[in-house]
Amino acid sequence: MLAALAGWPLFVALVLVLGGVAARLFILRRLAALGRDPGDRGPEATVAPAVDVMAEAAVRLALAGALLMPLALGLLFLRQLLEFRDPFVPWSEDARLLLLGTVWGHTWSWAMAASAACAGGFALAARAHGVGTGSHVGWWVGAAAALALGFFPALTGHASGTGGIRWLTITADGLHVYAAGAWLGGLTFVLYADRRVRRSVRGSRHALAAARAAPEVTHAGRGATGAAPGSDAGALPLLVPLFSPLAVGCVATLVLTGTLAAWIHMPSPGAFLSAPYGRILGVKLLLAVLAFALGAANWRMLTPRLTRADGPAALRRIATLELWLGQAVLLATAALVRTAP
Amino acid sequence: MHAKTILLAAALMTSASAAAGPADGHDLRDLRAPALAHFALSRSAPAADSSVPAPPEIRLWFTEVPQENSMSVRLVDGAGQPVEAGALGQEADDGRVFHLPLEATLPAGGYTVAWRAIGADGHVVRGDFGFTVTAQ
Repeated sequence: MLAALAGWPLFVALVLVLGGVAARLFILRRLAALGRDPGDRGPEATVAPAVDVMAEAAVRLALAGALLMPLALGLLFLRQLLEFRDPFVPWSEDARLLLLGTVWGHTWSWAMAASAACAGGFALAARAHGVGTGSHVGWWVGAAAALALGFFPALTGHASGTGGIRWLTITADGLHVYAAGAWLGGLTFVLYADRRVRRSVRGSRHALAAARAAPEVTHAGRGATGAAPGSDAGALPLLVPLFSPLAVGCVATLVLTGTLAAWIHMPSPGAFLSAPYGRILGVKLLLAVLAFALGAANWRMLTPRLTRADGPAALRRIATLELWLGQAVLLATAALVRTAP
Repeated sequence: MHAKTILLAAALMTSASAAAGPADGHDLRDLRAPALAHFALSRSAPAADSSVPAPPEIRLWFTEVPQENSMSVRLVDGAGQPVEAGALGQEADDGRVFHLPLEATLPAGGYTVAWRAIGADGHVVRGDFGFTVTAQ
């Protein structure tokens, strides 16, 4: 159990960095385009001030994950060293052999370098406050390192132990991590950015005005455009309709790649009950289905109710619950990757 | 911007896949076979729990080739002390087989072979078994 817990921070860190990257690529880009072209909606309707607040939230989220990453990788190294330990040689000799002599150690070293690039890039982007070349370069360095780190679990886990089909299982596992990061990290971003926008009076005023004046964005899903002035809608009417299609795509990717992994690693459906790996996978699936159900409820039932006075608060409650369930899924995943199929 | 994103993701996935190696001619029928096999000891000489005359070496057969440099084999006597042995060798034509040459004839008594390695999936796997050396 402790060995599984040691792997959980890595997934949390990956979710945060990949969530920040997904938010910028798939949500903020569309909102920023709206800000560049307010058309005849008037200056009050421009979304730019709210997008600035949200962009800062995305970078901060990614930076938090990037700063957690070295700690998470350090825990993994400590766990691997404890398991690798030969009681008849000094600790330093074992550590040197593990780090410099094994494929696992080489991959870990590569991940540590990527996490340093990730933290450095996002720190530069955060320090430049989203302005100038430094911010742009920093963000892209951080994003590239984050995308590379998404393959670390695949390169050091079950996906690597599949002989001649490693190319398939590693690619599928990497996509699985990307999708989980974009879904759970994207949801974390939505809640965090909404909170920051609500705390920023100017951003909040512009977000609400832009939501009401930009139906092409807010109707991307089942958008809400009629939130009354002074309501507690925050950034949700802007963010949720853009996040929902991303989440649907992520869930579809998770189901496809997860099904492939289960088919490759599980000897038979009976292993769901008979083997520890199957039982943990069953728990993970149950938690994931519950989280997907909450996400679906948010998308189909609560998003159209954002116009009502109690709509935003209800969506925030359910989304927070979905996020906690997502963390439980990550914990089950950390246990799963430590268990032989 | 969108095209750049797709290109970056495709490049990363391609490089990760290339690093993972080619398909080695597996077809769909045995697609899962390598994934379902896991690193473990399949047999040994001397065999586990056997009584034998002093062996010249310990020979271990595993189910998979472990990660390079990760294999360690120790022979421990009944008092828990490591027995002097030569350098651990790996068969050139079958990387799943390891042998530990013994530098001196083992005195009669009970011994434990403790091994450890990292499997292709990154998991550290370890195990041990005992055997008895009979008087000559």
